[in-house]
Amino acid sequence: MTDGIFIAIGIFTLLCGSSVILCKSPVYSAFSLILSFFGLAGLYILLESPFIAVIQVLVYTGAIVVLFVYVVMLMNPNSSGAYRNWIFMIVSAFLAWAVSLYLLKALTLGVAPAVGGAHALSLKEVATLLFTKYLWPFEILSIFLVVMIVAVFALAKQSKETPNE
Amino acid sequence: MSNFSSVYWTQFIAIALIGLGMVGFLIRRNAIVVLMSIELMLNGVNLLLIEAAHRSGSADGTMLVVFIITIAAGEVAVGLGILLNLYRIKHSSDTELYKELQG
Amino acid sequence: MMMPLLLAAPLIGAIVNGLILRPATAKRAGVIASIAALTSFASVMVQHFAPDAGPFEWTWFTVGELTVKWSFASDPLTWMMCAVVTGIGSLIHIYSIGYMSHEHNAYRYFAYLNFFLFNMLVLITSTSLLGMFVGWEGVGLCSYLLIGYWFEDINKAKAGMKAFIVNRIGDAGFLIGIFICYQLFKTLNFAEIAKLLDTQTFDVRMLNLAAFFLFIGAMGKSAQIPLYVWLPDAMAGPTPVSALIHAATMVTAGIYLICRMNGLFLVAQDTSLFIAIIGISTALLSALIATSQRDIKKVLAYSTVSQLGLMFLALGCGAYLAAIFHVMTHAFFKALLFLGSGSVIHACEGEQDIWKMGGLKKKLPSTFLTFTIGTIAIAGIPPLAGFFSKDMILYSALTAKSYGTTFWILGLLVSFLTAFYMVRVWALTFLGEYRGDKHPHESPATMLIPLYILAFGSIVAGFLGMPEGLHLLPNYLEAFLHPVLGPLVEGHGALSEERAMAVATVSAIIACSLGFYFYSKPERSETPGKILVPFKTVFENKFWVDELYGLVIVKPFDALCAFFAKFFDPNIIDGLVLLPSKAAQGMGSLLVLLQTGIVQTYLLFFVFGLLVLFMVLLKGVVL
Repeated sequence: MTDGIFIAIGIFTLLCGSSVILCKSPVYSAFSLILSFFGLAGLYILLESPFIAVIQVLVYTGAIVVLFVYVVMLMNPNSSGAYRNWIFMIVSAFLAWAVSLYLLKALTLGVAPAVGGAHALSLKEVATLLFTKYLWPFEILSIFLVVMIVAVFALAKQSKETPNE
Repeated sequence: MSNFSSVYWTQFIAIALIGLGMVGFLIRRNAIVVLMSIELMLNGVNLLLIEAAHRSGSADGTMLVVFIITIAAGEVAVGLGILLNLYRIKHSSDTELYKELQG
Repeated sequence: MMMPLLLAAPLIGAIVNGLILRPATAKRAGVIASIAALTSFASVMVQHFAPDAGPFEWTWFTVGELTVKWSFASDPLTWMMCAVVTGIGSLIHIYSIGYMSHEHNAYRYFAYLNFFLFNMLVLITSTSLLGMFVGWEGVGLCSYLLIGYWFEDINKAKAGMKAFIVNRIGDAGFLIGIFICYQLFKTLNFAEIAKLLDTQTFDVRMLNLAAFFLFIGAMGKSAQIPLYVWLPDAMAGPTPVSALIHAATMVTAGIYLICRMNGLFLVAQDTSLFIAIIGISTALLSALIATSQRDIKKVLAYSTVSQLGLMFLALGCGAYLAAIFHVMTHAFFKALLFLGSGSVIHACEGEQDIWKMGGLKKKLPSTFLTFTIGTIAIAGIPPLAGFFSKDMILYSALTAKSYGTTFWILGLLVSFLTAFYMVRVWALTFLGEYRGDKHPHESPATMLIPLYILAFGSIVAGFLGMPEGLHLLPNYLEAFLHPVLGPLVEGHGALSEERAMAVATVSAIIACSLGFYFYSKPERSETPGKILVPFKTVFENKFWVDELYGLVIVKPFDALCAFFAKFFDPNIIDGLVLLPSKAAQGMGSLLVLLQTGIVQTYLLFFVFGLLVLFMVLLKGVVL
C-alpha cells in the first residue's frame, strides 16, 4: 500500500518538476515548483524524516518561492519566446540523460543492504547533533548567513546608485 | 513504511529531478526560471541524502540536508538581487541579451 | 735564418708603414718600404750562397689525416722566382717614391705594396698547395686594394672589385682542384705528390680533372680566356702597381703553379692540350685588341695578356722551362715598359692617350732610350732577351705532340702582331711632334735608375737560357732548374730550330718596319685604320667581350638577386617566420567563437565536462 502511495507521490513530483521547466509563463513555473516541493515533503515523510519535511515546507515554499514570485512579478515576461534554439534542446537533453544514467549506475554500485534502526529524528535530537557533532558547520553557516545579508544589502544599495534609464 | 522493497525508486526519482533541473537551466531563456531549475536540482540531492540516511540509520544525511536548505536560501537571495540589478540595466530578463562577455 | 727574414721583412714593413708610423709623405713611407723590399732581396741573394739547412717548418693544423705545415723551402725554382719578385719588386718600390711624390698619405700605398710582396713570397715559397692558396688569396686581396687605391673615383673602385670577383671565380676552381688532389694523393705537399706520381698509377681521368680545375685557378690569376677581363680594367691603379702586379709577379702565379705541379700536368695530356689551346687563343685575341687601343697602359695590359697566353702555350706543350724563362725575361721588359709609360704619364701630368702625345724623344731622353730597349726586347729581335725566350716557346710549340705546326704558325702571328703594336705605341708616343697641351719634363732620378737597371736586365737576361744549337753559351737556366722541371725535351718538328729562329727574326723585323712605316709620320697614321675598317671597330671595342659578359652573366644574376630580394625574402621567408604568429592568431579567432557571452553556453560546457569526468572515473561502466 505504502509502495503505491510512494510511487504516486513520486510521479506527481516528477510531473510538477517537468512543468517547472516547460511552462512558458514564469508564474506557472513558480506554482509548479511549490507543488513539487509539497510532493517532496510527502516523500520525506514516507522516508521517516518529518522534521525535514516541515523545514522543507517552511523554508523552501514559505520563503524561497515567495521571493521568486516577488521577483517574477517585478519583471516583464520575455517577448521573444521561452526556450533557446533547438540545438541547445537536443544537446542538453542528451547530456542530462547521459549524466543521469551515469549517476544511476554510480549510485547502484555501492548499495548497502537496508539496516534497521532508522527512526524519525526528534527536534531534541537534531539540536543536540547541531551543537555537538555538527558544531563547526553550524557556526560557519551562521557566518555565511551574515555574509549573505551584507551581500544583499550591498546589491540593493548599488541599484540605488545606478542611474535609471 | 520501512520495509520498502526497492531502493531504486527513490534514487530514480531523485536523479530524474536532477536531470530535469539540468535540462531546465540549459534551455530556458527566462533568468528566473533558470534559478528555479537549480533549486530543483538541489532538491533532488536532498532526496538522495534523506534516502541514504533512511537506509543506513545514521543521522548524517539529515543534518546535511539541513545545511543544504540553509545555503540554498541564502544563495537564492543573493542570486535574485543580482538578477534585479541586471534587470535595471537591461530592462529584460532574457538571458539571450546578457552578452557583455562576448569575444 | 734567411728564410724567415725573407718573409718577415716585407710584413714588418707593411705593419710599420700602415699601422704604426703612418708617415704622411711618400718619401718617408717609400724609404721604409724599399728598405724592407731590399732586405728581402738581400736575403734571397745570401740564400744562394749560404743556403739554409732544410725547410723551415711550422705545423699549422692537423685535421684527421691531413696535417698542414707552414713550410718554406728553397729549391731552384723557388729561388729563381724569389729573386725575380724581390729584385724587380725593390726596383718598383724605389720607383714609386718618385711616382707617388705628389700623393698625400701615401703610407697606405706602400703598406699595401709591402703586404703584396709578403703574400707573393708566401705563395712562392710554400711547400704545400694549401699554403700556396693562402698566398694566392693574399695577392688577390692586395691586388684589389692597390687597383682601387684611388677609390674616390667610383670607376677605379669598380675596377678593383671586378679584379677581385673574377679572381674569385678562378679561386673557386683552384679550391676544387685542391680537393680533388687531396682525394687522389691524400697529401697536399708538393714533394710528396711528385713522389706519388712517380711511383703509383692513378686514374687518368681524375688526374685530368684535377689538372683542369687547378688550371681554372691559373686562368683567373693569370688572365686567360675567359677570365682575363679584369686585367685591362686593372690599369685604373697607379702605374707602378701595374708594373709589379700585372706584369712581373702576380699574373705569373698561375704559371708558377703549373710548373710546381709539372708532374701532374705531364701526365694529364688532355688538360695540357686544352691549356695550350686556351693560351694561344688568348694570345691572339688580346694581340688583335692591342693594335687599336688609344690608352698607353691598355696597350701594355693587353700585351701582358698576350704574352701570358704564349707562356701557357708553352706549358700546354710540356715546355715548363720555356715558360719560366719567358716569365723571367717578360718580367724585365714588361716592368720596364710599364715604368717607362709611368714616366711618360707623370711627365704629361696624367695624360694617357697616345694620340695626344708625340715628340717626347727630345723632352724625355732617358725614358725614350729605356723604352726603346724594352720595345726591341718585346718585339723579339735578337740578341735582346725577348728573342731567346720567345724562340724557346715557339720551338717547343713546333715540336709539340699534336697540332705543333698550327700552334707555331699562330704563335708566329702573335709575335708579328706584338712587334707591330709595340712599335706603333713607341712611334706615336715618342716620334714626330708633340700633339698635346701639357708641358712634359723628365722624371726624377728615383724613377730613372730603376728604368736603367731594368733595361740592362732586358738586354742580358736572354743569355741565361740560350739554346744548345747555337753553341754560344751553355743553357744555364736549364741546368739550374733541372732538378725541378726535368730536362728540356728535344722534340722533332717541321723545321729545325735554327730555321725556326730565322723565320721568327725575319717576321719580327718585317712587323717592326711596317709599324715604323705607318706610324712614324702623322699623315700615314690613319692608314691602317682605313684599310681594315671593319676589323678596326671590332678590335677597338675589345670584341665586345665585357658587354657579352654583362648581358649573359651579370644581367641574369641581377635578376635572380632582385627576385630573391623583392619577392622571395619578403613573402616566403617572412611568411614562414610569421607563420606561427599567424597560426596562433587564426586559432585564437577560431576559439573566440566559443565565447558567446551567454552563461548557458558555458554551463553546457560545464555539464559536458562533468560527463567526461564521470566517464573517466567510472570507466568500465558502459552507458
